[in-house]
Amino acid sequence: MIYEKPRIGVYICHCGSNISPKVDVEAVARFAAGLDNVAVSRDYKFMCSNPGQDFIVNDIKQMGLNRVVVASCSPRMHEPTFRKACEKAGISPHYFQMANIREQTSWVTADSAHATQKAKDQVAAAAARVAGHAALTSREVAVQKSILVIGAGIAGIQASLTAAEAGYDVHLVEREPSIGGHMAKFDKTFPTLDCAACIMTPKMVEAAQKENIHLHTWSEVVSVEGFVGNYKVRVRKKPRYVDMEKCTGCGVCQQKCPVKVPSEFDEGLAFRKAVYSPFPQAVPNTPVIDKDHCIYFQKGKCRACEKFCEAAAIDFNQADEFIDIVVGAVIAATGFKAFDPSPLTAYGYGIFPEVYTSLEFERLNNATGPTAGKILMKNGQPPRKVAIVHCVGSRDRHYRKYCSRVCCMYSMKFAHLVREKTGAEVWEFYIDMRSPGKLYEEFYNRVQEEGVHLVRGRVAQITDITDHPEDAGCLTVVAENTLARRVLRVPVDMVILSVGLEPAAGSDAVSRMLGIQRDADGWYNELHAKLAPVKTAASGIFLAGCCQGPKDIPDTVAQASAAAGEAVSLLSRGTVRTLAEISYIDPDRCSGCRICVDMCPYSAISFDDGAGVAVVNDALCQGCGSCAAACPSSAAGIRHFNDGQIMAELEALT
Amino acid sequence: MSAFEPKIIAMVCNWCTYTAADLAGTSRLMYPHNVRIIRLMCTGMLDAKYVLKAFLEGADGVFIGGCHPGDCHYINGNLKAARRIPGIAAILEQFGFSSERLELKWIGASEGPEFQEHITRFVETIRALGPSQAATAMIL
Amino acid sequence: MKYGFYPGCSYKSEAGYKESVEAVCRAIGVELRELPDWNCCGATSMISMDAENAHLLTARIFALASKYGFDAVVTTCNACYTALRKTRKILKADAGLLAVINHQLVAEGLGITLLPKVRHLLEVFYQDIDAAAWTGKSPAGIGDIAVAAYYGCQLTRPWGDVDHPERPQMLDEFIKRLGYTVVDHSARTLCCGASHFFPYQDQCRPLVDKIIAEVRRKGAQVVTTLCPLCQLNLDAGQETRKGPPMPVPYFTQLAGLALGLSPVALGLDKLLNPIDTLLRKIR
Ligand SMILES: Cc1cc2nc3c(=O)[nH]c(=O)nc-3n(C[C@H](O)[C@H](O)[C@H](O)COP(=O)(O)OP(=O)(O)OC[C@H]3O[C@@H](n4cnc5c(N)ncnc54)[C@H](O)[C@@H]3O)c2cc1C
Ligand code: FES
Repeated sequence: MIYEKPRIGVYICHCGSNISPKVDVEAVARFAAGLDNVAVSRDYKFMCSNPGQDFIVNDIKQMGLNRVVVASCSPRMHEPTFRKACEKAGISPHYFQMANIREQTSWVTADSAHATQKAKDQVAAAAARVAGHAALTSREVAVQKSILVIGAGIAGIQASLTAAEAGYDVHLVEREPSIGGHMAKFDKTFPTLDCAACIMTPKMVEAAQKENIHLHTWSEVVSVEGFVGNYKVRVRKKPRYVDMEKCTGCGVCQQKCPVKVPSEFDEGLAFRKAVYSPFPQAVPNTPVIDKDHCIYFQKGKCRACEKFCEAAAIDFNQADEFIDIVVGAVIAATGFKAFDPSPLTAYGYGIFPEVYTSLEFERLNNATGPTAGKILMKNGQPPRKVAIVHCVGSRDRHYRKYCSRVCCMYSMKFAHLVREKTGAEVWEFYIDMRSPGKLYEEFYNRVQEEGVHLVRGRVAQITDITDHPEDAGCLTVVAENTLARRVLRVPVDMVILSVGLEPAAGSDAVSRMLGIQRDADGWYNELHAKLAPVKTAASGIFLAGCCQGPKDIPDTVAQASAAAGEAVSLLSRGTVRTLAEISYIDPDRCSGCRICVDMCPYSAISFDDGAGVAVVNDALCQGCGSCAAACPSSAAGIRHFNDGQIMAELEALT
Repeated sequence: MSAFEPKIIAMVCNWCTYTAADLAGTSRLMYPHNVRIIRLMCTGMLDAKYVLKAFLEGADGVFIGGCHPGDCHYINGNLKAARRIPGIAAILEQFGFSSERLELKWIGASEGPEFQEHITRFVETIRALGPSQAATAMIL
Repeated sequence: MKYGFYPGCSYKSEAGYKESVEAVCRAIGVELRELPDWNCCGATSMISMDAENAHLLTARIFALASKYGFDAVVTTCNACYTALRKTRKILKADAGLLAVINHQLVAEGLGITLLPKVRHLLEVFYQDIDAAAWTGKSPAGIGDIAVAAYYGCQLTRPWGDVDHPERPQMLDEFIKRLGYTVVDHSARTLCCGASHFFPYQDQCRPLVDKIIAEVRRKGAQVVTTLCPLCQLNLDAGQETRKGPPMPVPYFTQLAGLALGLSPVALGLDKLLNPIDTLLRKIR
């Protein structure tokens, strides 16, 4: 590289009356003219205006400037503007430095002389720094125009459909035998009470039929490597023991199988077979054999399913299959799991048969559920009195301190359904009624009008000890009505615990695989709570649905569409530009101590055993500087924030 | 004789404290003029030698501002800085300087008033400590 | 096995607790060494009136344990158990208070050198003694007796460390180990009224009724207790009009029967609600 003597142009902005007169801009400009390497120094009313920028462009062209300093507002405001001007004039945009003399000087300093002195120091520092700037380059790397979606609840399905619609290849990975997630278990959904199956099933079918959606059910992602635009993903397809090509989905195997296992999909309220499809509308409708319960696998005898399968689809010899795919972006949509209320023994779940979780109730209420949608107790009778207990496991510092957001609404949905289907008396115990959302408050009002007893108070205990002989066989719900300041003891036939939401099992492993963070409660962290709710700190990885935090279906779908949109917007250009301001490790200085390898939060530094030095992966590095600060031999440095540049600033400022 | 006016160097994170300083400006919150701000991308890139250099060059106090724990844009650079500070402070003490001259604070992007408050207080602390002799006394 | 034993004030005067504890310990090889010159622990009431002196009372018991070289103190009463544990926790966390108390104890030549563990006799029986020691000897017919285990409200609360605070199991498991039929019920930790029974009979009687009604509804023939006050309340406080009297033996008495000891040696004749009909089941 030929050394080019720096020729700096310094421009002091008046910013109308925002900088001048507090800062004596002419004095600063005169001062700047005397600094090392400064070829020209000017002041102007509005540097960011077109004529202001033209000064810079013309000076670069006519006076042969190769560095520019603008002293004006915050670089967070106009750095891009002036960098563009430099580029336009033919010099590297990185040959530019800004002095923030408005936000950090004229607006915060009372005395004019002090403000002027501070501005002079800032300009001197900027000029000293810019002399050492280097022209940086970043690379365009080609991206894979395909997307991996992990989890096929409504979030994963929606994201897949949106991305597939835009023409992208989507790999949708679901660990259960069928796609659908929690929503597939519901009968009615708040606030409109439309039928979940009616709106969900078409989407499931569409996802299965779309040519560019590759469905991997009964599968798990086992590793993700690489970086934005090029993730290498390995998927493990668990053996179904049923050939998907041959199976016609006739269901005979499920009729013939002699083994009964409590159905996960029905929350243990009904049985499935050892060869099973979780529910009638399952997609795909090819069953799987549950090895742990299959008599043939356990004892070596039976094969009833095989005998009766006309399509000869049963294949006991299947084994794990690994599929390697390359994708440009990943959408995590692993959803949630419902809180297990067993530890709250005071509520009697698992002790009293008529205490249900909300998910169990969803199945009880579902037309395809164990009671064909009739709300019945275990003895086959409809309940006469039902209690619904809000916030079980939520807003409780012993369990989950946060609000699970959907429980108030689904509890009211239950209240409505119980009233409608059985006419039973309904008692709802809530802490605070939370119904924010379009048509939600209206739904609350409607439920109030339906004659539901709404009690503001946390339930203390649910017991089978009754207060009056005529209540024998009932459960007594003990709670304080905090509005009436009275302790209530309500005998009921059935109790529904509105359990909270917690991160899906295994989401810690997924987060580690994807290199994304989880918050204190275990939900995946978005990049910014308000402005980047579906991005993560790892570029190319996006979030959809409840895996980011509890939310209802409308919000889940909106977020899923957004995640697909972000992924598509990232990949649509076909390339991604790597960051320019990233780490560089000088191989001549590196002593091979590997401290930086451990320091890097992005695993962007690897160790080259051959050369004995650490090497930065440009595509992964985010430029945080953890390596630079830790490097004992100063071999690591961040471009544009290197030692020389910061030292120059320090010298000028002190 | 005029009162001692300390020279303060503030090295702050682009994502939080630098933004808070901008916000203090937009909100016209006045604070002592003695502070000179250097923008880092993250406190995680704060090298011990920057702090020592500042003192050697004549700074009377060095203020570091980073994101609150858990909020670091780069996951945990702020915590790395927090771990580094006691080591640097120990060096200062070895040379006979109060480690109060070096301070690390978490100031979030929306905390303009906190920035004003911390800087004002820090300047007072340093003013009370008097001029630093580090530039002449620290022989490295 | 040797243990420092703190009997507490109601141990000796109640329905056969002392007799059965001694008989069973002898049979099973547990040696309870009564702390000489022990004093009242202040129970749970004193601590709310005069915490400082309540701690001093209890601390003196710990000091005796130190003096006689016991690293654990065994009690047979829920109130003692709670009072002792509460003070122990406070002294463990507050070295200053411990020093003040030790200073006061000096007058008697006492001092706490080691804060002893506090254990209920049930813990000793259930955890320290080999399960096999309890089985095998049970006379035929024991299995025909349906027992409800009543823990009272203080054994597991507020600590929740020895057993679950709301649905404890240890006594059920122990009774099962002895060979009895155990009934599951929901009154395990309901309050019996404790020391309020005498001043507030009208309020406390329904509490006892509730417990007795619940265990009866679940099919229990006896309800067993592990605290003298619980035993007295449940035994004496039964509203007999509401059903046949329900015997309330101590867990140690049931243990003695299972070991084949004679009912009289176990003080079973002292129960207010007679257990005789049930004893006839044992052959
Ligand atoms: C009882 C109850 C009633 C509700 N009622 C309503 C209602 O009426 N209206 C409403 O708007 N909302 C309702 N909700 C909320 C609704 O359930 C959620 O908003 C919605 O299900 C979220 O969808 P999701 O795709 O994010 O998560 P999920 O439905 O949980 O789907 C996640 C999917 O990812 C899969 N998965 C997880 N981890 C992995 C992995 N590592 N690899 C592969 N696959 C994985 C899971 O198997 C699952 O299929 C209710 C919630 C509950 C608990
Ligand atoms: S990004 Fe602010 S301290 Fe790391």
